[in-house]
Amino acid sequence: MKYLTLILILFSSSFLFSQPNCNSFLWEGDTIKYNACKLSEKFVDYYQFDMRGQAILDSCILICPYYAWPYFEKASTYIKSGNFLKWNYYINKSYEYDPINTLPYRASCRAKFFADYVGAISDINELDSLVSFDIGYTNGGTYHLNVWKGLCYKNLDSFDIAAKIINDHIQKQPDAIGFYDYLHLGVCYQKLEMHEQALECFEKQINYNDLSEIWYYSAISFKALGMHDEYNSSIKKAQEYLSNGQTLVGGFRTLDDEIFQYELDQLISN
Amino acid sequence: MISKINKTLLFCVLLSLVSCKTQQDSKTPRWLDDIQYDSTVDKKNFVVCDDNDIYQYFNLGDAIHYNGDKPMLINSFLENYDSTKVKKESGLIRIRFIVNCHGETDRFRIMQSDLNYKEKVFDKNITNQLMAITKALDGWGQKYMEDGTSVDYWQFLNFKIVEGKIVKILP
Repeated sequence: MKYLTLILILFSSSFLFSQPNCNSFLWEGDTIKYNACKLSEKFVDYYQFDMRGQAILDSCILICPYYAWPYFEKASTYIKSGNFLKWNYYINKSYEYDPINTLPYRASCRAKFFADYVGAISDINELDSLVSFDIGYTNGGTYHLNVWKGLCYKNLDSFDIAAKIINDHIQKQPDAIGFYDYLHLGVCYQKLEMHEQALECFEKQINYNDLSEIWYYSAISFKALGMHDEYNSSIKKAQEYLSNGQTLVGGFRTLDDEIFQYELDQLISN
Repeated sequence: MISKINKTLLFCVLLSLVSCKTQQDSKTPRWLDDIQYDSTVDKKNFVVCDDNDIYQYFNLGDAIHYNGDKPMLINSFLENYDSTKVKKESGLIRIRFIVNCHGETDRFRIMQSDLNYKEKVFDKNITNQLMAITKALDGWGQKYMEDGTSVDYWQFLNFKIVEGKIVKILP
């Protein structure tokens, strides 16, 4: 699981607003944007936080103030230091000049780093209204944006709406079921006290990623249904997996429905 | 003779320019969002093991590397933050700091905004409490390189505050 997270972190940039092909601006006759774009290619020579790389982005903005990419890159650095003031400034500038490429990332970050679930839902809805193609994935690629919208509703305690959105996505796009979609859907059903449906989801989740969280949440539903043997075996498995590190792991943040030893101990003691 | 004096003067001027540049460079952060030492607020005895190479929190593993994990950290705020004695304000508060190679913390800095990410200043009863609790957190774990060397790293906590209450602690 940790390796999977590492791979996602390493390749997360590939799911972001990728650096454009500069020649496309030349073909459009925009030499100013072309020049800024060519300069921006030097940014990749530096670690993202390196001020020399940031200076290159600043120069790109000076050359072409309506070129979205350097704003986007600056925002994606500031988010990693939790600097919401600068992040908001740069991501909104990026949105101003390229909303379609910016909205998936802004929607992801608003929810992930600032618990701004209403803002994230609004971004996803706006993106949906702007494009005729699939709206795509969160930055990092873990969630389809439909599921991400469902998770935002889940965080707003609107579990019925969340369950409907995630379930609709799974039904409509069975080839685009994410690593943890069934886990989150199951937790939504559990919150709605629909324990049989929750357990069905947790069982399906095993085929995608067999995690401690599956067994922890299964244990809760088995307990609610009075299925003591299943509860005990689930607790045992949850502990075994947790001890082995077979859990949800987020390199940048604590993930939705991620559990720690504390939660498991609490469940056992209650 | 005059030419010699001129050359000497020119050399001195150039030398002073180079010196100025060096001084300026030493004050210019190498990494984005670095926090420089400020003798008026920072501990004088706080050791940063390698000031040139302070890692970001996500570089070496867990987002929150804390004894007892994130639930313990959250509990510290739940137990110690008193929302009854603050104004019912809402917004975001970031507290950023360094966890050094020994697991000690300092260079705490605060940032504040409303829920629309616009800069604001919160009621001091909110920010002072959050800062005091954050400074008292003593379970931060050390982070290590592959060769076993422990490193310094930047950590931040973002608090979402709604009507004076902490509703979320991130990341």
